Amino acid sequence: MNADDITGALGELVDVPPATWEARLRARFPADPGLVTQALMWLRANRERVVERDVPSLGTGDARYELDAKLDAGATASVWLARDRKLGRNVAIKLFRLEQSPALDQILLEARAASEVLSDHVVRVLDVHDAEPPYLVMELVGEHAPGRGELVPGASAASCRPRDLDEAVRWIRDVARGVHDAHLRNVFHRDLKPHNILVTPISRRAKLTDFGLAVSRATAGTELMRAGKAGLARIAGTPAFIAPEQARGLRATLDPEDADDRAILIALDVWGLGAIAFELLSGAPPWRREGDLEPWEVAARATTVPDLACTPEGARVPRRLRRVVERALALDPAARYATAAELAEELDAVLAHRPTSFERARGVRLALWCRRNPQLALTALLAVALATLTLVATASAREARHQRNELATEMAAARVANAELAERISEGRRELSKMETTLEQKSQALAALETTVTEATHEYDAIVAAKSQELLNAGAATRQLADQLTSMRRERDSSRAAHKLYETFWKRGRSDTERAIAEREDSERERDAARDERDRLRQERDEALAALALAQEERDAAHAERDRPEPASAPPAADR
Amino acid sequence: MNVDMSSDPVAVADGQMADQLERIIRRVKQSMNYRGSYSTRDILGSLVARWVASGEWARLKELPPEERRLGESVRRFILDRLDQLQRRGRREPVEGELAGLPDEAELAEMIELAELRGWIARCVADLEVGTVDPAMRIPLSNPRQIGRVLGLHLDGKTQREIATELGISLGVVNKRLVEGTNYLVVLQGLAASAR
Repeated sequence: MNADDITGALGELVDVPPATWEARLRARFPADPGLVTQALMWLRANRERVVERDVPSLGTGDARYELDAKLDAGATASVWLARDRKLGRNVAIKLFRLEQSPALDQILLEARAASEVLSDHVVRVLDVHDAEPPYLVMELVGEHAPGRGELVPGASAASCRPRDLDEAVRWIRDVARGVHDAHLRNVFHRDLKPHNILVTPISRRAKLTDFGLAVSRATAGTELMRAGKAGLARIAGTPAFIAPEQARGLRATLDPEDADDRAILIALDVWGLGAIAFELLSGAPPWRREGDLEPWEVAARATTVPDLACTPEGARVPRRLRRVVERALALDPAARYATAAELAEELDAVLAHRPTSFERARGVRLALWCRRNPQLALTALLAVALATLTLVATASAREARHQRNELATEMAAARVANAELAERISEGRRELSKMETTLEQKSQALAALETTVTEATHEYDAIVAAKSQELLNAGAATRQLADQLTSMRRERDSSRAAHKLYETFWKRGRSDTERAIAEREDSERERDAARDERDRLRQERDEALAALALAQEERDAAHAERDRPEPASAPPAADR
Repeated sequence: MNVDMSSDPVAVADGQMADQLERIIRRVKQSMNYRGSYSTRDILGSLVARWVASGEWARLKELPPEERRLGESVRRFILDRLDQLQRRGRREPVEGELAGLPDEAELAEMIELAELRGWIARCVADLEVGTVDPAMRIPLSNPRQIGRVLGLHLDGKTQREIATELGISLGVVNKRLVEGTNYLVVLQGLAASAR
């Protein structure tokens, strides 16, 4: 068999009763039990409701309620359209799964919490069965179709989207009123999300349901808040819609009658309403997975208000509505609306084009009033326009009259001025003719003068020509003289140069002579000195010769003394 | 995974098989549609999944069951994680906050679910690259697109956003989600029957 066979077989079996699936599959694929098994699993997964095979029984044949059709299914319960045999009416029954259901006393507390609330915007709980199988009997949110009159059950706001912005705002406002009604009875929902809003199919009204996580007087002082099957109940809510402080964990025992605890619980529900608004307006929940962080972890770590403009739908939400939603979603609980009713009022103001608490400017208020009362605004606008037009016309007429009078006065003055001007013109003309006569005479005189001037000019030209010739001659003579002067200067300069040369030679000869004289004098001095030296040397020589002679005499005397005999008397005199 | 499934689903009675399969379907769909559930259990479930991903479970599985001290390890991990988150904002005075942590049996179930989520993530990643489990006999129309749609769905995207991102119609997104979920259910059923 090929893939088309298998796909074709599955497509055919989707619309036939599940009880016949196996037989049909075995007949079609007799040699392939493995494929039959897979196809059966596929088909059962494809039609989850079919897995429940039969409508569950709520008891014996005389049971009061009879289940008819499944409306919704969740993790812990399914919701059924049912018939109340006793009163002959249709109801909705929330039937808890045996293996997944919370404790029976918790179901009872949920029923009590929902029953406490009397509101047009909250689904009423009519009865509870706190034995097995546990279930809640609730008002059926549904309407009869106007045409055939058949009963059409409502759907959750998560599955039937609002048709337009106004419808979304109406739903949130209605739910906010329901939440406020619950708060007045000390019931706090704590799990507000579009899935818990049921919308009627025809009139499109929204109602709040599912008080499974609600805190009320019934739950106060009990361990219920942390007795959930999973245990840790201090973090409760739906991750994608959870308030930041709720994601971070709240005290396990919050007393709905204590003022401080009430403020915490109200802030949680106001956040929930903001989260519903966020989802309905943008199409996405406020918190989504970011990387490996789960939505509730993103909520716990949030530092900014979720951005409505995260989707194209959200970006189109008007600013005044966005501000309301952002205030409901403020991270600081104290910055949110103090009550759900306050939020409902704001949304009502948005719907009715009345100013919200953010809109204090007169211009905005006036614009909103006009939007609210278009006919009155149009009439007022026309009246104002008419009055303005009348005022403008009156003022214009007055201005025109004033301008006309001014023009008449100006015209009279202009006439007088015109007459004066005409007089001046005629006078001017007379003066002009006089001046023309004078001018004629002056022209004639000028012509005569011009003739004289022409003659004088000719004479002048002749003189100029003669003088020019003379000047040329004088110039030639001057040039000749200049040439002579130049040659004389040249001669003078050469004489001067010769003289200077002579002077130089003379000076040099003189200095040579002086130097020769000096040298001669030096020579003479040297000669005199040499002579003196010679004389001195001669004198020394003479003295030396005298000394030598004396020495020779003494030597001779000594020789003579030596040569004289000793006994003789006196020694002989020495030879000299 | 301790899914109670007989060894041959074809042989068991239709009702019994349906009950077993219902459990698998519900578990797979619960893991696929994490957004809709109440948070108390889911938040704990996501923390348990983190604990499994931290490798601690793989380590403990090597030990004999009596030495595992599963509850102690998970509790310590969860309380550390919650404490980290609480430090980020204004902290309410919390009394008796440890009172309600789940017991061992419930933890085991949560671990099983966490493993299922991990298994689903792996299957989706395989589909995204066009890899279909060879045991699967039923043909998938467009495995890559199914993987992509499932991946975006698990990331918390709405069907409208998925349609916009992938440039396909809402109807095709819905069809691929159903097809992908069915594929996972069949693989889970096969795995359970193999045990």
